[in-house]
Amino acid sequence: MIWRNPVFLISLGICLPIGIWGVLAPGSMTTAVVGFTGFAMSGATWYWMLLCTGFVALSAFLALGPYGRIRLGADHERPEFSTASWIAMLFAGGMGSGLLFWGVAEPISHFANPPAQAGGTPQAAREAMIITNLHWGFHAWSIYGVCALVIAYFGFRKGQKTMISTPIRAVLPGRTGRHVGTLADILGVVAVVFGLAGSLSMGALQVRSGLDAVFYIPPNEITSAAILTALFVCYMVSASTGVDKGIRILSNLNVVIAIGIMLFVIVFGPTLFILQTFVDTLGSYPANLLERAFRLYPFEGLEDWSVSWTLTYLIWWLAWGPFVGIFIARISRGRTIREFCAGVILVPTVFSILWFSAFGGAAFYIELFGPGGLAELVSSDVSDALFAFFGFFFAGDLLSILAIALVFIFLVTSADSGTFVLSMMTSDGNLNPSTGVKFIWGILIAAITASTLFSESIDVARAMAAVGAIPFSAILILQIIGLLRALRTEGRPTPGATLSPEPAE
Amino acid sequence: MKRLTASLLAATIALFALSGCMEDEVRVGSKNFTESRIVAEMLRALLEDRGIRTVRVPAFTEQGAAFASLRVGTIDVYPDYVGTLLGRLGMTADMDRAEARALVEVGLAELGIVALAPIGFDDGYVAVTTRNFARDENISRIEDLADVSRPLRVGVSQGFARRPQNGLEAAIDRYGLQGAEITVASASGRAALYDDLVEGKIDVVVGFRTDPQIRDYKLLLLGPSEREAPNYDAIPLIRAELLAARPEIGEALDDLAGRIDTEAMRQLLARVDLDGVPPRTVARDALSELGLIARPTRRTPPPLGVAMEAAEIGDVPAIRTMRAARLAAPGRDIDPVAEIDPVAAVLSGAARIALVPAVALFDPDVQPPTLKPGIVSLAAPSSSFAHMLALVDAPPGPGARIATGPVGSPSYGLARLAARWLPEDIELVPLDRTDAATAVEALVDGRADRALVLASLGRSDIDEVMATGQIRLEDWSGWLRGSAGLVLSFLRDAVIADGIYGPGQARTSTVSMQMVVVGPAPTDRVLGRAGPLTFSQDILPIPDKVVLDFNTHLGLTADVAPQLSPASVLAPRPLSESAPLNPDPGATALSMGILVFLIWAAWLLVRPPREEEP
Repeated sequence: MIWRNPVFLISLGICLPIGIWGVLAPGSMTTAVVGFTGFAMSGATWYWMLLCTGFVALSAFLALGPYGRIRLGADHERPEFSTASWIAMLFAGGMGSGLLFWGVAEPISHFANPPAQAGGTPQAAREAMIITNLHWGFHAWSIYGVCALVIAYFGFRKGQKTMISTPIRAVLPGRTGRHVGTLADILGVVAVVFGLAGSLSMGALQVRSGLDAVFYIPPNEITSAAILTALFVCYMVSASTGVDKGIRILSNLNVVIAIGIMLFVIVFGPTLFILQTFVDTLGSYPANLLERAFRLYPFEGLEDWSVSWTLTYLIWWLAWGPFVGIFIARISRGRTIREFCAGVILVPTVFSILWFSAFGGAAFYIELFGPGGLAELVSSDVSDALFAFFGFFFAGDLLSILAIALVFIFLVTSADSGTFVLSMMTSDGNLNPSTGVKFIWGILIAAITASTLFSESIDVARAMAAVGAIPFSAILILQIIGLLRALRTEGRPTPGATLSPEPAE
Repeated sequence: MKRLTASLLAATIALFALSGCMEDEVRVGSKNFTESRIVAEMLRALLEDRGIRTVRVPAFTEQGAAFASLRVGTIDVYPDYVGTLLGRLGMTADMDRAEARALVEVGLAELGIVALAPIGFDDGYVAVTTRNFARDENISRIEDLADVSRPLRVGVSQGFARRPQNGLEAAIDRYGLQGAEITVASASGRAALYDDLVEGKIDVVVGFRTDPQIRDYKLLLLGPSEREAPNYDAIPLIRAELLAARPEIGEALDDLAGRIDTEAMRQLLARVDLDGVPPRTVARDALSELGLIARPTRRTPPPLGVAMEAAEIGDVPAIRTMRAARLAAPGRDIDPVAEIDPVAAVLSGAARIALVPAVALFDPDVQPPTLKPGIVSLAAPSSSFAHMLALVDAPPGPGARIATGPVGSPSYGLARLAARWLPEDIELVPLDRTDAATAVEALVDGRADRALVLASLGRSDIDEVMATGQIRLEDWSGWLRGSAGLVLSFLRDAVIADGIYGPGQARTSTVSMQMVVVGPAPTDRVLGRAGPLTFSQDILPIPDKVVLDFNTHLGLTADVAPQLSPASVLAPRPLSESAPLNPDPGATALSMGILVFLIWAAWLLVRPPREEEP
């Protein structure tokens, strides 16, 4: 029973006081959390960059190396979801509405102010596409992929609990392992709770500003409450139907709308220019990846730029890692490691190159050859920039409405998968946690989101959402060690293993 | 998923199909200048709003080509002017307005062309001058120009100079301007004539009635008045054959009759020529505001607000600032925002930048003066003078009660800061507004003995109250000498030379300060704004590149004074002291901790498996 689960009780004991602190004294909480995050980020820039680039290298090794054929499940198992649905779900779970808002804003920001060179030039445009894809491409998906792979391997291949602690207990046997494992589970839960609540409250504000921009609905607390209520109802309904119905249907819908908007931009925007941008970036991004994946600008004195762009992104992906990872693991049962890496890392990366080529390319075109006006706007308001961008298209209002719908569905899928993951983590790794547990977490998340939302401090939400990433990075390293050690024993007969000792296929 | 994909495809195909359906298109033409393009787009919008398909024929560059094309039927509709058409029909435009229009209608009917009702604006030639020149030389009508004491300097366009019957030559004869110095500008150099006018290099410009500069620079129209001048009403022309076959076209175009007056046209031209908005957007926006067509798409992108005191709007520093902002942020509309406390508007996000006297950057309630947090100065386009106004018959010497702008306004702030250094004890009387007229009201009512107005030199509201003859400027500078000058170092001694505000005004010493453009300061935020799901309401600084462009377009101005927190891109970089070898021991501790952890992790990875390990 959940009330006797130590992970649940202790994490609740941590989350509630911090949540209440955030509501009662948002100022002091922000200072403390931002101070901690800031110190950890700017005091160890090298570590974050190296760690995340390490994940990219690790996933490449796993996909292309000798372990690629190992199946995440028994050798005879086959995937539960169709490949299209699988990719749709992991994409909808892993990317948020940021993809939409930053689709225009990020390429344009870098185009106007690239690090260590002059803005507004053709070279700056190419640089902008490389940097944007560095932030949204292989790194993002490798972090998710590694988080998911450790869980999936131990859960489905080894038949152990799908818990964050499982790989750690494999590395550190005995009492140390038990304690560190429980600590890891608790940290995982806390990171997910804050990551989710912070993200949801920011997402609700995004929907609110969208409604203001398109329908002139006043952006006040009543609107926030209405959005949160609608969100709550939707994700609870979705959560109660289970992964194979609710999340799957919503994710498919989400991806269809996203592709629809993208096609609209490609077809009715400067088609040729966008496709040329896509092909150009397809070459320039991988070609520059090696250099960029390590670049921290120490000689240019641009460490601050690194921290506020590249490292911020990496921290975000890490913060979302625990819950997106477990969710991706849950839906990837029965795939080989190679298939897994292709689906979780390669396909989404190519898609995001196309996505940013469409939005960024069209925005470049407006800046370079059209009336312009987006560059300065991006620096003052990102969501205004998106709606202004849509304003250049015919049926721009329709696009804006679709965009708001998309943001909302992104929120519902994130909340739904987050609730599911929390329930799983606090019911001892049960892959189909009971609806009762999901309801408890659903309500708790809604409560923390509501209090963040009404404390009216976005800094609290942002700091809350990102802070979990810092301790989680250490856990992730231990998990990977567990995975690598276990992979080495694949093919060797091991006492107690219930599965076929032969390597897959 | 498949069904959804299919329906998406179907919708896309339907969109394409819709745009391809066939119907006879109305061919709309225009001449090759902004005004004609805007009107042509309006005509198109009116037709399209009623489901009549149109096609835009490229603008005709050759003189008379549009008219000829309409006659032979290669275009169906285009806008022209009564006076121009009279010329095409071989008549002079110098006649009564109604008569002119009747003649045009008859003449066109013979050629199979119908002239629809006038749109409402007249685009004839008009002589304009600055308000200062008009006041100094005491002129209000074009006829007065002959009496100007010194040789008149007149700027005209080539088109006007070459016009035979009612052009430059005729005007010289008619208004007795034989002694005038004439500057002739090419069509493309016409806009520069107005700059010369504002800068005082020429006295009078002959331009078109709809020139947007007339509104922007608040110029004075000398005439001839619209009623006396030849008729240059804009009218849409249409082929009679088409009108007979499809009367709904005429009905649609008649909606425009009398709806756009000359002032409205100036605004639309400003949006195209100065703001760079496409004519089609401007036309559609204007029609939808008049309720003639359904709402257009959103205003893209939203305008960039420049906060300033209401009285500054339209004055020269404001115009220069707005123009530089337009050029530095291409594609954005720049809107002036009237604010009592412009700096507060920047901090709250109500405006992006503000144009304020330097004193507005300081918190008036703190001694010594302290900069308000959260703002930086981007440029210093001008200077602002303290104008201490008093009634002419008021007793000399200090008065105890000083009227200022409302609490929070720059003049209130200056009076608060100065109060400590003034020899006399003063009482501040905050008024509702910051302009000179309000200040004079308070003096006349007896609510205050003197009134402090902060304004750039020669601002029109001060000009107007000085012209009444009941107000004098008082010396207000002695207090700044000594310690006040050290503490309030952004202030400087200044003199308002005699005659700036008309012949009666004597040389006055006072204080002045830089007038600066301020924007939000960068915040030291650790996490960036970006992320998979982030939202940000932070007010961000103006990007460095925009700041530099802004300064370039502002032309040569003084640098922002160092005590006014110039933006980092403008501030000279100080030679840094030699940094300690390890500037951040905290980072060392953290990095070492991480290294130890990584080494431990590496050991965990390579250590040999133990027996009990599964």
